[in-house]
Amino acid sequence: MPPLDAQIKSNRRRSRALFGMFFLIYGALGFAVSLRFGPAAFYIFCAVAIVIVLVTLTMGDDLAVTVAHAKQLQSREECPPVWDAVEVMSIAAGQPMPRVYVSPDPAPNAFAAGKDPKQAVVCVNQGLLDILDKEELEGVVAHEMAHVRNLDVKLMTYAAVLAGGIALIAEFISYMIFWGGGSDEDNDLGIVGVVISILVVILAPIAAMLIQMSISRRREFLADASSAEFTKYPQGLASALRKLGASEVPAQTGSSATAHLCIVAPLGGKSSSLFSTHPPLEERIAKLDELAAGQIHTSRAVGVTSSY
Amino acid sequence: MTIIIIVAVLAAVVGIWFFAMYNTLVSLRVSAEEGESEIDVQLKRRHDLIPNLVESVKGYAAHEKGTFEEVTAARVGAVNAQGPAAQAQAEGALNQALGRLFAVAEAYPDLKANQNFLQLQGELTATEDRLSAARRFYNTTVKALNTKCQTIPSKWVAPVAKVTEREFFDLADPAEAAVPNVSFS
Repeated sequence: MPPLDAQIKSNRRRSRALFGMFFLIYGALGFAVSLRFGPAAFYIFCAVAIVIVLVTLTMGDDLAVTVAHAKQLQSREECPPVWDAVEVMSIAAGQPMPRVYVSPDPAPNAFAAGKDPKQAVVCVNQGLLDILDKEELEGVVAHEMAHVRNLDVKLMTYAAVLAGGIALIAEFISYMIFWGGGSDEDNDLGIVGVVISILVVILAPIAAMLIQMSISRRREFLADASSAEFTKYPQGLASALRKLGASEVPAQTGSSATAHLCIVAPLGGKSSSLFSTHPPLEERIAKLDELAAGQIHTSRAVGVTSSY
Repeated sequence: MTIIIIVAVLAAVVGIWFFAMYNTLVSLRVSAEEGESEIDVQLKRRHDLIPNLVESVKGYAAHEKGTFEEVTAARVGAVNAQGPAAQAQAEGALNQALGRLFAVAEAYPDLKANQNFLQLQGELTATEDRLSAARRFYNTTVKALNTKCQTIPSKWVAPVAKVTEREFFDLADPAEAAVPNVSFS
């Protein structure tokens, strides 16, 4: 299987597996509850969890992006390089063209937002336009379009809801334990049960956060690979990431709501950890280089006047 | 009794899988059709730019009749081509003819500075970028479609969904893809 397909398949499989792990944690919490408070509590717990998830999902989390100071492009003439990059990448992705914004922020970054491709938004910072050339800009825009096509906004909302649910329930259980709820007759395991429940309740939210961040990083890799799928030119994005890594300009704007959709993590420093929304830049560049090496030919241009 | 339940569950699983596969195949076919239509849109844009381009070069190099006729003939061939494979072939021929046209224009500094010519050249470049993108989307979709049509078990569902393999939009001869890079910037 060619490296691009292999990378894309692997990323999708791993993010599905990570979502599965959320449900394992819900199971562990349920087990802890029933150990301490008996089986009836377990069923109540399940019902509460389902209600939390459903309510939050149907609340329609419209990620209304406050695109601070950003100017929406109404026509190509206002900023041809950005307009062209977005339009070309929309064609390559088979998506309707999103609304395009340019922000005066001098930090080189870009982000995409929107629950589905029909309501999508792509914003590019002036800082990015200043340092990237055409192929690099296309690579970055393709990465953002990939987030839109792969429905990453929706996915990360689900992940946040699931993680939030775990944290809420763990807190709820810890109150119950603290205030000594549940009858001792239902509790066969005594002190062991108490210890297990306490451990699960402390560890579950941390585990949930780790899973959520893992999912975010996995989707970033997927967006990089999808970008290569659209451009058939992974070197463009790799080169852009190298320039972004070398840049020292800090972000002026950047909320945690959109942080996971940016091309590079806007908040927090260069070091990456298990709690980072984005994988380390070197790793992303390495994977893109792998894709570039695996290509037989770069079939970029069909015509006469485009330069290679 | 349990046998009946097991059979029913298996039948349900197979049925659900069948529906999912059917819908996937149909989605791929519709995407491929959409891709083909986007290629047509960009090709038409390209073909429509060419007469004006030829006219603007004629204004400075009227005697280069051979080149103009070649471009015009190649354009006609490209407009009449049917189906992705034939279209790709014809576009390759058109590329070569256009390459020669731009090579001719090289010798005329006044032409190279002409606003009209520069604008047409810019639009041609923009169109080629979009054509490349449309081609990439189409070929990626066709690859997925053809793979599903050839692999088990989806290849058994394909005839039911009336989904068949499609041609790629690829330049048959890789040498034709390497058109001389003539840019004036």
